[in-house]
Amino acid sequence: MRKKVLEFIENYMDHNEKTFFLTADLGYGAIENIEKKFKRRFINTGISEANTILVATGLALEGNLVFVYSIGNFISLRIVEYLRNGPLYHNLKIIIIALGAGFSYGQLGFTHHLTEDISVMRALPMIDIYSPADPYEAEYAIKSAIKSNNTSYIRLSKNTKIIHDLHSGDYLNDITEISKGEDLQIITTGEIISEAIISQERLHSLGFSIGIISVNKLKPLNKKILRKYIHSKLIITLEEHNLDGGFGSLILEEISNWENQPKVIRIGLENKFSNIVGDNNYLLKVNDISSEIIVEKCLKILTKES
Amino acid sequence: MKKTISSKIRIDILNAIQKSGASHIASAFSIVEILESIYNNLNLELILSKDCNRDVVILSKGHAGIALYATLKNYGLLSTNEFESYYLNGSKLSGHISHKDLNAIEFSTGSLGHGLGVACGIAYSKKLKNHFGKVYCIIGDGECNEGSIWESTLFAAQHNLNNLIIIVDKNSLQGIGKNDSILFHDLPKQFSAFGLNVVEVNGHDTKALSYTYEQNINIKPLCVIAKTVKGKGVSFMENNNQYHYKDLQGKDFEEAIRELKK
Repeated sequence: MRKKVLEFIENYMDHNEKTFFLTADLGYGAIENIEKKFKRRFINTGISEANTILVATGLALEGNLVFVYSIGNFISLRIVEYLRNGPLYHNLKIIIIALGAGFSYGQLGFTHHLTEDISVMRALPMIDIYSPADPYEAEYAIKSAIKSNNTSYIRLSKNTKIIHDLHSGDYLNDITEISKGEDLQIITTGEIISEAIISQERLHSLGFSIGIISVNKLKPLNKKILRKYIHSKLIITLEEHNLDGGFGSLILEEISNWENQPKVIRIGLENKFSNIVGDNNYLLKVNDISSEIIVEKCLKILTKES
Repeated sequence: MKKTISSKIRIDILNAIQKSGASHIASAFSIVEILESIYNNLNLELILSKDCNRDVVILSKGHAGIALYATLKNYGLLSTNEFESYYLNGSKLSGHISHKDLNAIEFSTGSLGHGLGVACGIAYSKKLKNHFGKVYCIIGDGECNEGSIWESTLFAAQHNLNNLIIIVDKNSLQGIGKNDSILFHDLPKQFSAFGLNVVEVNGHDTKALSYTYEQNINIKPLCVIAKTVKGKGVSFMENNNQYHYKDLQGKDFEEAIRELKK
């Protein structure tokens, strides 16, 4: 999805003079085209994320659209106050591309696990948040961010697979119903949707009908579409992220406004860091957010309710 | 005439602090001539029309906000009515500087270490687009404790932002003590080692400050180390750090007014 987003940005910058691309020294093998093409509109601000956001703020005050590219935690948790007081308080538009959603950088260790950013960024006013599941959703996110007047935060994983059955971005929206199901619906965000799809297949073979909903745009949440798609009485929320204040919390907050509320069970990280070494799939398993756990939890609730 | 403006500004600050009970009067008093030296040379029409060739002023040490509000009032960029609303419920004028609905204020600050990087972004954009206008950024010497100041300084030097003027209000005191006893800095050496053109000047000499900006612009990014006195202008406030937070009331207020009106 990174490639798709960078290609889109390159093309957009080609046609729009008042654009800048800032990287905090990240993007080896990925951003060279942008660097060559746009020269002084490309700035490697160095390993200095605070100043990267500050410079982006100054450029945006001068009427430029600024793309900021770096590793997830460094360009979210580390820079929260610079973002809050700068672009957000001043109603400026910058677009942050944060890499390494969830356990994308699994083996690199806990510093690179992006597992609290949704909660933290979601607490800020005047920001749009995207968490795409695949390259098409990523393209949707960057297009939508460009259209918005707000600053945007786009959380990307390394995923290159097209996860949706809908083999084109044309069908996508802020929230997309991937498949319908009667007994239970899994609402999820980001690449971990692939675990939801595996779980769905297993549960199908056991005779259960499971629906899947992918939420790409987390803030502002498209309440209308969410309401339209949720029809089951049983909901599982799934996130590659800490549970406190995260994606499941977001869905629960919205559902709490409804008259007929489904039962919601949240699956995500339970207030912990992962200090075990492993790749993305391995870390999903040892942190109890892989398809095995999802199937287990679904079966428990499905048999209890029936 | 210039002397008159700075004493008017101080009197306005003092009255506003007395009325509101707000803090940071000493920090405000130390930058009065710095602000005067900048605003004397600004094209005010360009500021109000937000012309892309205007000079941009960013007060990074936002706790001295009242000094900027009083300066804007004295240069006709803020109405007396608005100024009088400082710190009141429902007002736009907060203790730390906010730009909302105030055309002449470019950027809101209050958390230290934010203004300089923003000034760098503005200066970079101006240079690239061949827009005129300098970018002035006033920072505190205590503010130089912040790591982001040094990230931004590296950036300014790397991109040779020679339309940028950093003015360090070097009053040698910060929140609860002397700079040197908290985190020692050798600011002229540091800014110079980072690649800036450093000039040290008396921060209460408006003419000397203005002259420094004129003579040194367009070479390298300029860092003016303005040697100031915290609480300047009122004898018992000068270098007395309790006025970082304390306001002035009763006899102290009357005495201060008397000294300023001399």
